[in-house]
Amino acid sequence: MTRIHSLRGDALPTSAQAAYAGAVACGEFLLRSWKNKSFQRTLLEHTDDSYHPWWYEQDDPLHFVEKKGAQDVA
Amino acid sequence: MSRESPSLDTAALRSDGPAATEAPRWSCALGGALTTTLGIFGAVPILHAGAGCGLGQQFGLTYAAGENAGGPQGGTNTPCSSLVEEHVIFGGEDKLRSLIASSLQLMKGELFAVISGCIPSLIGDDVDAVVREFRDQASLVHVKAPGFGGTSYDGYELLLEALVEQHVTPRPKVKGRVNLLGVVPYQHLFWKGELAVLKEELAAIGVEANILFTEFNGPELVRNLSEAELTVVLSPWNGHRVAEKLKQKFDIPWIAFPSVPVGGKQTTSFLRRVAAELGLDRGPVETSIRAAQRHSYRFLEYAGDGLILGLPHAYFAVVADAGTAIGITQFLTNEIAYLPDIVIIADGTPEAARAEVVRQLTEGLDIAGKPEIIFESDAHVIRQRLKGHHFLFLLASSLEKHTAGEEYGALHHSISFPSYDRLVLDTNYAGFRGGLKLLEELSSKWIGPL
Repeated sequence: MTRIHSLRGDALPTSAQAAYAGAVACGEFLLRSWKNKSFQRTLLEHTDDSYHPWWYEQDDPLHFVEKKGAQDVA
Repeated sequence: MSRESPSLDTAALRSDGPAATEAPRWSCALGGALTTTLGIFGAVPILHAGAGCGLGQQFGLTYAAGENAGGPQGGTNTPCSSLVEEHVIFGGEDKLRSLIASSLQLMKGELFAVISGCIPSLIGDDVDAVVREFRDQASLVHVKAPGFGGTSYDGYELLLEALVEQHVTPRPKVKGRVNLLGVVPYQHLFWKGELAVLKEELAAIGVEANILFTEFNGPELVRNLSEAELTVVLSPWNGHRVAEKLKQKFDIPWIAFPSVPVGGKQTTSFLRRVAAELGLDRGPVETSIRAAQRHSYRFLEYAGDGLILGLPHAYFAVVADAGTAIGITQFLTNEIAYLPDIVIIADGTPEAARAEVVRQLTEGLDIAGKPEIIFESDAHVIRQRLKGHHFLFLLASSLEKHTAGEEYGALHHSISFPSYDRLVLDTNYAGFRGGLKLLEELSSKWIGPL
């Protein structure tokens, strides 16, 4: 009953990843993930972020991407 | 996924047959009184019973509690009057008298617990009178614990009630001292480790816990029971009778928690409640709790990939005594985000305590869909009731081990009585680190590329 590899899956119906069974298992997986978020909420509350706060306060996901080239094109 | 339970009329199963339970998850009252005595280092059990009554507990109770032998007492060296037909007819008092006399000479101990089983209770031996003859020579208590009078859970209450009645005297209260009750030796598999951990967790907030069992000054701890400011019971029903007796006799108030606290959330609310009851200064308590939380959640984070990518939100089923079921179900649901499918309470929880158990397993869970909750102790009926559910983990006793994969497609882990498939010495899931331990064990059932 060992889960072999996430890409190959294992014998459990809920781990199927190919064909129709895989589609059903994927939907089932999403349903389950919406039912309980306590792990995420608990760790959010009790563990510090690894990034400095300014990162979350600015809204540019490409902040560290070299912008010089882009400006040249513009 | 279908959430319907299989169509099984358990009432019909029962009504035609005798009032019997297949493979009940407990022993008799004598067994409970015996194993509770074994929990107290320095106490010696003296059985006034048939010869098999003690040895039967070794196979059916102590081995079933994570393959434990008795310890310094409780093995084949247990003093026993070994009553046979002759004593049933002519009485067993003489045999008990000579047994107590020889046991006081032979057995190392400070406190002797004479435990009467079925036979003396049926034939009416005056055991109290025999025990009284030795009271000037040693500390003795007598407890009537006939097997027909109750289960091993009752035996725990009977032995402790007898100690409180016959051995504990009023003493001045010690500030910051609490009694911990409700963890039943051997019936609760992880009793040894749990008590040690909870003692440490309480010490961290400045509370001194009298855990009674597992410490080498057991008889002294028994006498210290009357010094506590508060009794803290860690079960929805075990230990309540003893706590009430301590209240009546020594005016010690008591509070009850639904289980031994497992993991950060339960331990935090446990410590806060005890601190509030004792009127402790909140500042240092919160500082201590925050430090413990920081550690346990940082370490839980290491399991993050496993819980987000590997096997998130797995359905699980539990078959256990009420306290263990509540502690584990709440931890896995409220902190690990696993999904409780069905919880079977298999310890014969009395009717009066069931509403609170149900409340803990519904309102106490931070999730919209609630698990099916069943009170059932019959091994066959439990096996049937688990069918038709779709859980990936089955946290139960070793009785469920060999059908878990075949019948339910589940990974099995033994966490409740009886568990003959693991050795439990110090392992436990109590306190801030206990949740990590449970997660380690559960995840080790499925992790790994090969």
